[in-house]
Amino acid sequence: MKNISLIFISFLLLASCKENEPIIKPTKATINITFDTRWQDQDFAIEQVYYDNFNHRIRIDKFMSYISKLGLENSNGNFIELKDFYLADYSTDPTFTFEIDPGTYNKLLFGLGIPLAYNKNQDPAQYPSTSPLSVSGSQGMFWFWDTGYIFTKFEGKADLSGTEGEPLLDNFLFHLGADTLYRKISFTNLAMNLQAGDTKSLTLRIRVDQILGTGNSEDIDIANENITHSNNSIALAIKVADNYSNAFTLVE
Amino acid sequence: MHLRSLNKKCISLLLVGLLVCVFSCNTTQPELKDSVIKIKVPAHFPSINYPEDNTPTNLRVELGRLLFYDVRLSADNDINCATCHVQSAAFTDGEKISSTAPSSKFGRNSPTLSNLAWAPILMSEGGVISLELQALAPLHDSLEMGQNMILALNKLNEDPLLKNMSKAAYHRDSIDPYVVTRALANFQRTMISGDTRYDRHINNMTSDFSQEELRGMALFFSERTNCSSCHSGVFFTDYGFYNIGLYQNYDDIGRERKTQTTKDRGKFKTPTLRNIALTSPYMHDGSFSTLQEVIEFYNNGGSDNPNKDTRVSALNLTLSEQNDLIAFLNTLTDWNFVQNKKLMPPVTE
Repeated sequence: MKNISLIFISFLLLASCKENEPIIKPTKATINITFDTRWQDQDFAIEQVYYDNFNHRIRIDKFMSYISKLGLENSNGNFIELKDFYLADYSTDPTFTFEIDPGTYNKLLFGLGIPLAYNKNQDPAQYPSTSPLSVSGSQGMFWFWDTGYIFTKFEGKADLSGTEGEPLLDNFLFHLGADTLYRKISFTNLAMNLQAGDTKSLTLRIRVDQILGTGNSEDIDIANENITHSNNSIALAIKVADNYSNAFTLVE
Repeated sequence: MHLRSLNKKCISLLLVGLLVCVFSCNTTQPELKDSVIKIKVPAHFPSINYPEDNTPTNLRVELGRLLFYDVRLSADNDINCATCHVQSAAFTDGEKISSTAPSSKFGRNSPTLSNLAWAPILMSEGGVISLELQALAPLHDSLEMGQNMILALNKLNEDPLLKNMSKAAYHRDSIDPYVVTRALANFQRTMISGDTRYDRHINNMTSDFSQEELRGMALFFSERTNCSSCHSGVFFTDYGFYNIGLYQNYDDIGRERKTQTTKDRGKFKTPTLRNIALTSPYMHDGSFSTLQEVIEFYNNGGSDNPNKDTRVSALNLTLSEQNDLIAFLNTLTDWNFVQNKKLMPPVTE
């Protein structure tokens, strides 16, 4: 019984000690980055039917993409990497939270795809399974017969008959994956001054509809251009890669 | 009184726990010892440059052999590497197109596996640069093993022997992609074929070549046939990519699939001619059943094709000369290789 009392008193002492602890001031700022997919002015959803620029009813069934070397450049011109590699499955809109040093940050930078040094002839078996570059983590985003990562998969079905109500039976498949298709994105007018304890949220908005074009010469008519594994139709792959990189906007 | 009773129960539970622990410790696999081994290389072959992280050891090679013959690497547990790479056929399968991919545009004749330790480039279109990387290709190809490797690993990790070997050979707690690719590559580097009548002849070990074989050898290495300009060196391949004019129009575009340049359409990697008598049918699509057909094809100079290599043209060989060439090609069979017990399924050794 005495022992139990002693333990109880000890707990009380410990609890009171906590109350007297000094408040620790934050030394870091917090930044949240959300990837937000849209189809025109609506939220984008996988397997939802939309209309493209050619008035085809289309449905995106898979949209996955590697984001590489996501980071910020501070006022001294130093790059601070927040995330090395991330395999985005755009069936959801992921948000990342990072703790960073207080300071002024001018640029948000990242790459679409896998940069040269990590791509061709690299061995996914060298990475732990937790890495998005590993055999399991790459989730099928790797070509084993021609060693290299698939940067982006954008697949779905369309109805090219133009008859409302008809099922969507026409496949399209864009698989991007060549060193020349790596795209660097930079947003250079951030002027983000973060104090310790501050929280800043940034949204990277992706206009998924614009991957198929914006109503100009870069438009992709699925009736004519519906498949690329990159090398077998590099012109289309370049068009998709360029459209995709131009589909990002930064919303502060 | 209540506390005493509780203590007794706790002590009892502790004892049971200890017993379970001791029992389970006794049932674990014995510690395996691994040691570096030297792979015997024919004197007239170059030495092997092993990857730093995959030098040969007895356990690595043995683990690779077990995996090579393990059907758990396939989606339906019905095929293994040896399904398409049968030792008695110099690790080919005798099919035009392997039965796992009979109708595919990219289904190809199963290549022979020998002397891969020296191959600088793999796959018919040359998209893979190491045996470690190559091991991933058939495992994931729906036309071959057709399985995400992770599913295979789940099966393999239920095998305590393989897990134990994996730990001893590669210091990994489980069988993971690293282990599978390294072990398979390590085993495949032991598939060395360099003990043929031809090898013994050029090394002055025997002088039993017939006149027919000698004439065939002279033709083979002559500028008249140009055979040896591509099928060159001790491995009878220059690892280059050529269009030999097999077709005017190729269904399988070959190296163009990788490079996407039309000048590479119909180009395929030069295959080795070692054990050629055992590896019929021939060509990337198995379109020729016999060596006679192959020699006839070259003798006629092949089909017109804009990418055809200039060295392929009508040879005007007599029937006798064609037979001489075939006689020479038959000297490239390594019977010790196809009967090497160290390359057989473990159970048959």
